[in-house]
Amino acid sequence: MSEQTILIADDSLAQRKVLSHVLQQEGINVVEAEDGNVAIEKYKAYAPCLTILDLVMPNCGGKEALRKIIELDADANVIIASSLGGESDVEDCLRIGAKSYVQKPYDFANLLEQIRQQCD
Amino acid sequence: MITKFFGQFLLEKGIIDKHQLLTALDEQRAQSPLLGELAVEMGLLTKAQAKTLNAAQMKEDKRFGDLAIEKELLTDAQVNELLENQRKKRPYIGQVLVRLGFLTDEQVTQLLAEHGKDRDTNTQHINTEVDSCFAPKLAHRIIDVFPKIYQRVCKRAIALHSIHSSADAQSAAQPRWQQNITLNQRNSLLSLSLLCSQQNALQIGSAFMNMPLQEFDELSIDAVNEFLNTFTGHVYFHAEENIDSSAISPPTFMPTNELAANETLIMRFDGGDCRCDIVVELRDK
Repeated sequence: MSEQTILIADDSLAQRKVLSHVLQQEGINVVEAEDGNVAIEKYKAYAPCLTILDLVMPNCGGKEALRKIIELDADANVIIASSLGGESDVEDCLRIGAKSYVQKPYDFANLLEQIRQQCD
Repeated sequence: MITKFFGQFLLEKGIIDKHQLLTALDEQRAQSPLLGELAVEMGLLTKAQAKTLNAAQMKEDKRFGDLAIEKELLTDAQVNELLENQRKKRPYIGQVLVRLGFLTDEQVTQLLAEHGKDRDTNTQHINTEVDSCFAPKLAHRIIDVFPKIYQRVCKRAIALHSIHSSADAQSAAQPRWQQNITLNQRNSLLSLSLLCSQQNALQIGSAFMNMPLQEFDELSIDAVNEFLNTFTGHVYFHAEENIDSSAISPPTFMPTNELAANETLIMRFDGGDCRCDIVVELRDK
């Protein structure tokens, strides 16, 4: 999965660092955003192969950012990540256009498999 | 994962894709009674009232229950009862997936067993104090979930040590990480907090980050924030209240600890070298 860029949007510095570290070990370039607004700007700038959006973020949350990214690029590969696994949140995000929804704490083996499926 | 609905479990494992899940959810919904129909059946609304609410719902993009409460046709308790009845009457997502030909009966049986391993199976004897507290279901859930999340993140065991209804010297002296949850359709705020020493916070933060954290700084505070966020998410997914993500505030850190709620429940967990208090408080909004 080298030469690929993944955008991680999470208001938690700790979550971003943990996930970045795992992805970088796989040879993936990582771009970070601390909220949904920054994620949208970075999506435009970097055109990542995959975006991982935290569901709950200040200023612009995951669902809103997902909507805007899908408006920009209907084929965008977006995975929503959250500590919450409520049926309505999962369904909403999939209907808006997310490719998947993963629950934190991350199951990295599973997440890397999903990344391979989306980016290869 | 500890708590997620069966559909998401299948999605995350790659057993079904998002289109299959959405199709199954549509089918499941089509086979469930509408809230308005149930309300009429239970004698809570007249047919005319249900029809008016359905028409308003089309225009206002609001949930039927929220509209009914807003227009004072139903109470919070009645809406919750209706939602519960609706849940009971709808087919299981596994049954729907079989009916649609996405999975076989045998697969569903096997996968449900796998999924069930991660879910509530706690049958341990709990202090009767829990049953008599102001939020017994929530307390039971915390007692079940906290050790699982702690074990998963910290790779060590922790167990319930004691339960209190007021702060003692230990909890009063500790820093605090807190999340607020607005209870659906109520004027009350529930907060869930993690209290532990700086040293224990560094242990939890290091485990969460998978790297040693030496300083009690922004990164270590944030790591514990996220540990709490993860725990809260798992606690509320199966809570009795119908709570969505927008009802849960981001976690905040408070260096000093003030317990000043209407009702308080403190659950102390002991993992040998790590002691944490999980505090539930109920406040007026």
